[in-house]
Order: sequence, then C-alpha cells, then structure tokens
Amino acid sequence: MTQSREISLSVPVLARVEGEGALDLEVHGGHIETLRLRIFEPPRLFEKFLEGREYQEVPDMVARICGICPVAYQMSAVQAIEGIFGLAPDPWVRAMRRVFYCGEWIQSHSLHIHLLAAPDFLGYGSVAEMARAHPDTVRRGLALQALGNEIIRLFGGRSVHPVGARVGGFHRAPSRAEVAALQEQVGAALPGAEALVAWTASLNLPNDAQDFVSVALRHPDEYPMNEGRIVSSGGLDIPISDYEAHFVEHQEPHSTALYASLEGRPYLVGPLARLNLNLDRLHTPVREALGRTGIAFPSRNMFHSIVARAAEIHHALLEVTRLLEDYSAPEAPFAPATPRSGTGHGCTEAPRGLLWHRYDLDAAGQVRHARIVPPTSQNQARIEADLRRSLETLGLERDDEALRQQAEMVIRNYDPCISCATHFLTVRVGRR
Amino acid sequence: MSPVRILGIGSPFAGDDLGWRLAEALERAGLPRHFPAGMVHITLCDRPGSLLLPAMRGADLAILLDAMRSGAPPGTLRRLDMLELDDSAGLLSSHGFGVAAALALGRALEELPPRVLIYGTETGHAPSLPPLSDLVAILWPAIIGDIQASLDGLRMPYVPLFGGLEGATVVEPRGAPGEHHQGGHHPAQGAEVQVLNEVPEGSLPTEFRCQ
Repeated sequence: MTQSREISLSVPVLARVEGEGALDLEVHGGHIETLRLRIFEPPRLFEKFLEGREYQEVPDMVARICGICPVAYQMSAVQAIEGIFGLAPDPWVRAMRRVFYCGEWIQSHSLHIHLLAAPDFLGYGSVAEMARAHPDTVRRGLALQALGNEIIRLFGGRSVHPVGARVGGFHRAPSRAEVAALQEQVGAALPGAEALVAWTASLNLPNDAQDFVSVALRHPDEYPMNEGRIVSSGGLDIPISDYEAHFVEHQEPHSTALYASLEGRPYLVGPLARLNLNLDRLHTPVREALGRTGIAFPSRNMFHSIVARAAEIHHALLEVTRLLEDYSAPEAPFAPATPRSGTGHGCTEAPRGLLWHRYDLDAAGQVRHARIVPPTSQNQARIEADLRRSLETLGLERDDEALRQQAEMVIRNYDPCISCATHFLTVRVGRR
Repeated sequence: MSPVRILGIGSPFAGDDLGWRLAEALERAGLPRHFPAGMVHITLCDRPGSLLLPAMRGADLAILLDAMRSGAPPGTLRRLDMLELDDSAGLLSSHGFGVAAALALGRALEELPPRVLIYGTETGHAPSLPPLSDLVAILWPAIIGDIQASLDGLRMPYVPLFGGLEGATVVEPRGAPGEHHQGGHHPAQGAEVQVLNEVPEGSLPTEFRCQ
C-alpha cells in the first residue's frame, strides 16, 4: 500500500529568492523519484513584445525584464544590434559601459551576499533577524548596494530599469565633477570590499565538492563582462555566434523557464563558473585576497559562490577606479547608427552568468525576431542536479522542515532571478 | 530633503500598479501644493526592496501606498502604523524582497523615520476594484490629517495654500512646547490598524465612509 502525504509550506524566508518558485519532491524507497524545480521566467514574453519594435526601443524594453540586472539585458542587446550595424563602440563608450556594468555587479552581489545568502550561513531565518545581531554586516551590504546603484544611476539616469544606455553609447556623459564624487565613494569602499572576501570565506560554508561544467565568457586580457568568447571547463571555446550549435534549450511541462544543456549535460554559469575560468584575469589585489582565504580555486564547491561574488565586488571596484582615472567627457557620448538588416548576437556576463541575445532586424532596424537566454534558465538543470545530490547527502529520512531548509539553501546559493509573480515557494514532499 | 515622503509602491507590470496610480492621483490632485514647497514629496517606487530604506531616510513621516492582500473584500482600504506591521501583514510584492521585509530590516537597524504609515488597498482581480477617484476621495482627507498631525508634533507651522481651507491662514501647531517629540517613535498612536472603508462582500462598492 502506498502512503503518500502532501505538505504545503509557505515560507517567509522564501522572500529571499527573486520571484516565484516551487519544488516538488517525490521520495520512493529512500530514493528521489521526482525532483522538479518549477520556475517562471518572463523573457519569453519579451521576445514577442520586441517583434516589430524599432531598434532604438530595444535597450529600454529589455531593461524591463529584470529589476536587479537591467544593465546586463541592455548590454547584451546593444552588442547584438551594433554587430548588425557594423558599429564598434569607441574607447570611451566601451570603458563607460564596463563601469556601468560594474555598478550592477556590485549592487546585485552585495544584495545577495548580505540580504539573501548570509542569513543561511549565520543561522538566521531572515535578514531582519540577522540585522539585530550583525547590524554592521547588514549596513556594509546596504552601503555597497547603494554604491552600485549610484554607479548605475550616474550612467543610466536611475538605478532600476535605467534609461541612459542606447545603441552607439549613452544618451548623456557624466560630468567630471560627478565622476570625481563617485571616485571618492569608490575609493572609500575599497578596503571594505577587500575585507568582504575574507569575511565570506570565514562563513560556515558546507564542504560539498561536486562535478560540474563551468561556462563563462573569456576575454584576452580582462575579467569577462561585456565581451569575449564562450569557454567551458570541458574545453569548449567558441564565438558567441556559435552558441546555438552547442547549447540546446528544451521545455519541461512543469516549468515555463526553458532548460538549457551543453552537449546534453547541465552546466553552471555565474560567479563561481566565471571565477573558475578567469582567475588569471582578476586584478592582483583580488587574487591575493582570494589566496589568503586558503580556498583553492578553481573550486568544485558550489557554496564558494558567495566568495566568488565577494571577489567580483572587489574586482569591480578596482575596475571602476581604473576606468575612471583621468576621466573626461567626450564630445558626443554615442556614435550615430545607420540601420541595416541582419542577424546579430550579444553575450555578456550578467551578475548571475551568461546572458545571450540574438536579434534579426530588417533594413529599417525593426526587430523581426528576438531570442533571449537568461542565466537562471541555463542554471535550472544544474540546480536540480545539485538539489538531488544535496538532499540525498543530507539524508532523505530527515523531516520535511530539514529537507526544505537544505533545498532552499541550495537554490538560494545560485541566486536565481525568478522575476515577477508572487514570492512564495511551496515545497511538496510526497513519501511512499 | 522633504520631511514628508509619500511613496507609491508597485510595479508597472502585472497589475501591481495600484500604489503608483494612487500616488499619481494624489500628485495630480495637488496634495503637495497643499503644503509649503518642499515639505511633501511624492515618489513612485518600482519594487524598491531594500532601497525603500534610503527612500525614507531623513524623513519625519513616510506614507506608503501599496496593494495588500489580507482576505478583506477588494477595495478595502486599511491604514496601518509601521509598529503594527509584521511579516504576515499581507503586503503584496512582485519581487523577492518586499515592503514588509524592508521595513522589518529598517526597524532592526533602527533606520526608520519616526513615523511610517501604510495605506494598503485590498486587491482582487480586475475589474473588482472601486474607481480610483473613490479611493482618492478617502485617502485625501486621511493623508492630509496624518501630515498635519505629524507636522504639529514637530511644531512645524504651515500655510495651507488651497483646497477647501481658508486662504492663507497660518495654522499654529497644537500642543505645548514640552510635547515636542524629537526623533524616536511616536507615542502609542501607532497601535492602530484602521479600516477606512467597509466594502460589502461580493458587491462592487459604490459608497465609502471613513471611520
């Protein structure tokens, strides 16, 4: 006789996952029979919304896909469209786009480290609870997040869904005085960011080495952000235009987010994958700070993602410092574009990993077709593989609450951005 | 930095724009002009998350307009004091870190304005909400009263500029000097969760009354 029970838990801590997710777990004879992470992602609708739109509208429209990583969507889009038009960004535009993007990494990673992930590792149910015992830690996170937002606002006009980016560059160049004020703030934040690397490494992180394939961009001489080739820890090394030849998306009935696979296998994108594949591209002080943690990178422990995020905040602040040195505003903050038809690809490193776009434009620059592959859907199969393994390691005989906590911690560790909808994660456990 | 901030909370998407529409309607109706320039500022916040804290920083009074789901009939308007809010208050969030979480964080860090009020409007499925103008008609006097009470508490005289009040009469602050509150929490007036209108179950409300 089969004994099955259904439990629905609505959990306040699930406010620490962006958007809606549900986890279905079926355990049979002590083994996981079914494990489904059900998530909902909006970009599929955006792809249709974009059809028929003028190319100038695209950066503002795709910025609306996510409130946390709008810059990433804008940067992948302009790269693809400029590729079609044969428009190469000048050195000022290229450098300032990188600064703009650094702002997003800083704010997104700070948010995740302090407000979303740290309560897991310090043993609190919510960040408000943690803030009473660790107020300075939370304040540091909020201050770094605010600095990241300030950088985005300087170039984007506002920090959420910025409107400053355009095909060819920016609508406006910040003044020297504005940049000088920002440089001062960045300089003041640097020691804290370096200390953050050590702080994350000192957390009580589970020791859980796993076998996974890392995928990230790689650039000849920079830590990857706005451009590069797609590489993997398995030896893949392709131009971004070849993405569709190697990466396949498929649909599962339980999720509106597509599952992506590389040569038929799950893979990891995001800070840990990026760091694992680009250690030699980090600024020296970041490499040294990582070295002092005693953690050997490349790491196979997914929980080292939080250390990778801290390292990337440190790197981004150093990068902003470097790029804004001797700043002067250009005569024009953008290059004019002349539309032409064609297919273009854009791929940049969003805070959560590879964000790949493809656009087909007609001769007037109108979008005929768009395809957007966000990082969270690329990580979905990997999260499920990790969940399966982590829950079995924990012990499936543990009570539902213990399983739920472990599952949530594993999911949160990927910082999934499951935008929109509500914010409840329901865990259903069926036991037979 | 305006001492009174009115923040419309929401998103331009997914029908979660009620807080925005109410804030815009109050702006259009001229609520800030009811007070001296710079005293009252209305802002729209797009799923602010923890950014709600800097948006309120330095204010003496913050009034949040947000959608709410508490089981009451759609259109029910509730006025909550921050002191009464906990994680189960039912404020809707279309993003991971909602208003309730941000306020709880602000409280833990002792970084909230002395007074935070939330006007929550119970949402249902369109088109079950009452007309925006009906909601504004209820909000208008309630919010004017909140602001006036708060400014009185801070002994800030103000000149009503228009809107049913008598010309440019200077309204003197109430209360004796010794009753002046500086920072910290307001006295027990926080312990109130007020339903401003009653909406009969299952019917579209056409009239409201303030309690």
